[in-house]
Amino acid sequence: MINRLAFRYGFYILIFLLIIFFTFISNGFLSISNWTQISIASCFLLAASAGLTVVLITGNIDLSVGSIAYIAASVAYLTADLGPLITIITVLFVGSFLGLINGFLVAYLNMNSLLTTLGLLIAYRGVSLVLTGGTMQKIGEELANFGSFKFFGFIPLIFTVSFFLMILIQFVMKATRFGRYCYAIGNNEFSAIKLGIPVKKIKLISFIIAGVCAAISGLLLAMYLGEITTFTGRGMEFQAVAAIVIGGTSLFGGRGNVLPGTMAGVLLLVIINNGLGTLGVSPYIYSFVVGALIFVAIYLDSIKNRYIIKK
Amino acid sequence: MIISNFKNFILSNNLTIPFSICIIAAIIFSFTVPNFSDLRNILNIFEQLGVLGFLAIGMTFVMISGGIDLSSYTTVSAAAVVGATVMVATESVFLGSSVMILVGLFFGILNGIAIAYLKMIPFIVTLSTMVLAQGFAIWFTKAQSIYGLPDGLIYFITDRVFGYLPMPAILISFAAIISGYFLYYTKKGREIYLTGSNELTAEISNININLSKLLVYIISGVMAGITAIVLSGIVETSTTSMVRDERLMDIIAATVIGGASLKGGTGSIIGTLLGLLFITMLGNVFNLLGVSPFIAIVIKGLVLVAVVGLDVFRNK
Amino acid sequence: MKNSSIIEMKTITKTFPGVIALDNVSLKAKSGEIVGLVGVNGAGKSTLMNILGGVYKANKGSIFIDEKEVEFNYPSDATRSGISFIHQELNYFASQSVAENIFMSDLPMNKNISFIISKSKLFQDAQKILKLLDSNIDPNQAIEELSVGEKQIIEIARALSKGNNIVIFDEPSSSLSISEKNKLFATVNSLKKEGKIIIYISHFLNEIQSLCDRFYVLRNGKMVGEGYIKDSSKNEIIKLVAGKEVILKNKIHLNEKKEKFIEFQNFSYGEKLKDINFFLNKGEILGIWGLMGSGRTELLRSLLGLDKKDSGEIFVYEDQNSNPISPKDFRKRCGFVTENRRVDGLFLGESIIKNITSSNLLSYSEGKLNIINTKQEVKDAEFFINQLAIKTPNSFTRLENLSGGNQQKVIFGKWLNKKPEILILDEPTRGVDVEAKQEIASLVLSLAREGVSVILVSSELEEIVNMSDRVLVLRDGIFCHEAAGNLINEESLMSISLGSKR
Repeated sequence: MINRLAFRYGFYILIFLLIIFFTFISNGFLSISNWTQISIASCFLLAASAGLTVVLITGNIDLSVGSIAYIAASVAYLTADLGPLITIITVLFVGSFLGLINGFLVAYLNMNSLLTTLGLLIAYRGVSLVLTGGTMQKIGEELANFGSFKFFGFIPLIFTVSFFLMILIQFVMKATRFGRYCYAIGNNEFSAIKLGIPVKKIKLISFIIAGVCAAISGLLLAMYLGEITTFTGRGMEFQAVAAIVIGGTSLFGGRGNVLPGTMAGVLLLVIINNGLGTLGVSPYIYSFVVGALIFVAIYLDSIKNRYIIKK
Repeated sequence: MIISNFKNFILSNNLTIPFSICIIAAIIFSFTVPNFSDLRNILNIFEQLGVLGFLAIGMTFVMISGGIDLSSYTTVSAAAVVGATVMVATESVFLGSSVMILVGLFFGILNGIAIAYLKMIPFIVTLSTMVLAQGFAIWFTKAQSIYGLPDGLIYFITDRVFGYLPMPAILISFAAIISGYFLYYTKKGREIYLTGSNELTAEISNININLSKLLVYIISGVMAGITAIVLSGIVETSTTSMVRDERLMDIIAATVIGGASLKGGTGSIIGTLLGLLFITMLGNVFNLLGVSPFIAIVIKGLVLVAVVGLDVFRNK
Repeated sequence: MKNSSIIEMKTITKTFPGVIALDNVSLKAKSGEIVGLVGVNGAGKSTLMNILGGVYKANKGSIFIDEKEVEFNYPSDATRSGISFIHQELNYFASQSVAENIFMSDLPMNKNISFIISKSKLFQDAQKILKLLDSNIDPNQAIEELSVGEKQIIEIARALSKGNNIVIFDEPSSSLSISEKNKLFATVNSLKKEGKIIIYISHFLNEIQSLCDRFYVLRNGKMVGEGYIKDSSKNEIIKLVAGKEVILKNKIHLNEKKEKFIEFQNFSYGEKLKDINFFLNKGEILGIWGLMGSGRTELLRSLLGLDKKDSGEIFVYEDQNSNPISPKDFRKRCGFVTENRRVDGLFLGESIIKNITSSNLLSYSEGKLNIINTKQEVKDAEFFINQLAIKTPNSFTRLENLSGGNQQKVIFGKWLNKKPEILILDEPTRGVDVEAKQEIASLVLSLAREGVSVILVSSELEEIVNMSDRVLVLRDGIFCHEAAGNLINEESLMSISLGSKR
């Protein structure tokens, strides 16, 4: 039991220790400008991971979120002249539509979520490449301005959007029937079916949520950069999975939460990157570290799972 | 007699689907796509087969055992950059190639131990190894490509045997024969199939499932190393992204078309290579028709999705 | 809550390919009554209840609730008709709270904001139900912190919350401690007081006797007896369960030599196995009789080194010396026919040939490269197909296309191919048609005659009695009795394992 508590709070302690470590090691780590940087760097991953957490809780996975983000950004480019409102609405619509496709294939056609979304990752990326002609494109000016707007000069708008998105999703998972059903399906799909829970519908909705969140993430990134590149969303799904699992959600489904779990996972990754940056460490170490972290996180997750099965 | 033997061979090894798809596609393409049936183009296709083929063979082994290897294509980059550095520094093709294979072996062992002995999930392990290998390649080279590879390598790989046949195709044929023989006719090969068919039964039957699993990931890793050698010879450089992301889909799709299943226990080298042939033909045709490479990517992704659907349908 | 309901199953017959699971079985139960269903494993109890639970459909016969005929195509149909099933394997949602588990299909919503769950009402409702069951479990507690017995109570609470009037308990007490068992019985009794119809399946006669009002006895798919508990003695019930038709004359095997071959000492594993010691003679058939939950499968897997154990050593007797042997080496000399062939006994997608040669690939390997001699494989497979009378179009047929009995024969062929000195059989004739059962039985007997030492684990009394030279009775992880030769008979074995001598 104590071990379990250690598992749960271990990462928060780790984050705390890391913050202390970096504060001592480098100057300027605790500065407001640095933390503004951190909040900007994390908000894209936060948005996408929030939605992806829901899918993971039901016991599935969606590897196409990075590509959905890219499509969303491409849509922002395409609707650049139509004003920010149209852009936002279209982006949300596209995100839910792509999520719908994913969810339909997995929930209703019973396809393996892993490989299917892996294939869709490629297909969606190709679509974005077609839409943007494979090069950098600019988005609308108004949106770009929103992208760099900061409340009181240091709280970025995009971060607030992500943060509220997280709170919203956490609320849904905790307080609504839908949320409980997600956990039930992840824990014991067979029993859930027997109880009459509309399993297919719930799974479909979870993918739609992931799609919308991924789209929002892509839009935020485009807003911040003022443009989209072929690197938009690239590899984001793997970072998101890492953050989510580190944050306590199990790949086996049925466990985990967005707040504080996934948020802590994202923060951990971003702080490490940021901290390494202020230390002047080679930026290439980062993906190394992420790879190793995923490994450790998954290993711990599988141990946790075996422990639970034994009981 | 030859025809009936051939027919039996196709039928008894579940090769009907990949074989028919290839034949039908080849026929359709030769009539509808200009320059498709030119000798030069066909040889081109076979050369490409010789590049991805090794990874596909490795993936076949892994999938037959019931697992999956997402990391082999980035391992190619890791192997290529380290080996190329050695090659350039020592002017020795042999040394550099050996290093490439060793790096592939290293990642293969990493995967194999985690999956076979630490009992971790193949998808996740190889996912993280994929990121690790890629990150390693970028870190090792500081994102620079490596030029100036020894001519010996380039001449060898781009050589045309008898003036026609691309060396990679020759190499892959050898690899296919050796691995096919290993898989179908030896005890270890049989054990790999049985481990994938039902791990628990295999264990009770006194088959060493851990060793079987370790072996397939090692093979996959070594195949990545070989791919590094071949690719470095063809593009004459070693970069941090030797094999593009979409190729992973191609490889998986090829094995599934060839009869492998995510659940394990089925699959064949010939089937996979036929599947890869089809996919390569598809890409070639896109090229010839001037289809936007982006649209080609979309179609490739959709092909994988369709293939996964095929697998589900087949197992119902 | 209805106070007088009746449920009736009339002339139910259910067949599976090659097996008649239930033959013209009828059962009746009414409100405020606890009806016991008794019988050994494979007698048909679970099949009957699965029909009532909507998992299977009967081939003949019908179900009536309150005189109206009902038809169940899915488990949810049965649930909607008021039937709740408390299975042996608990069905719960591990990461959720007690209250959430009880009300998952019916979460109470907030009065004002209709899409938010009302945590207070959830808590209150859960507490109300738990109070009915006289339980102090905290509704907000995480369910995975509860003990098995407590989790079971939550499942009962879930059944109650749906207002279901018919509750079926399937071997509920197997994994419970004494105090939890008492709690369970109190709960069952309070359900009875509320006017529920309760069907209680168990092989523990003590429980049946103390809990139930009436009982039914199933044997080999037939209803062989029924009555009122207060009118029947335990022995009468035992006789019905065991059956008197057993002919001891069937025993054509008697191992005269008592030559010790293998000795097992100090096998323990947590609560499942407590210091097991026994030995096996050469050429004998040692029967291990025990019901589910007695520790049989754990014992076999521990002996073979397939599962971890806390302690245990194996010794081989050769030329008057006893030498220790590692589990791995021991396993090399054994054949192991597992309890659940679909799980770990077969390669379903592979041919008969590949299955038969799978335990012995080394012997087909030639040369340094270990190349498989496929011709010899085919020959050997055909040999066994012949010898074991396996019904199949040819040796290339995949196992998934064979019937249960033939699959089992292939498994036997696989182990015989290895010429093992020791054959360990775990429920070797489960799910096998009558004809194949006979064939397998005579096969085992002839193997023993040829000197193979057999450990036969079974919950089919007839099988054990007919074939064993010696029988060890396993109950709750220890061997509580041993019988040999003519002293083996069903009634004493049954009463011992049913715990009447406790």
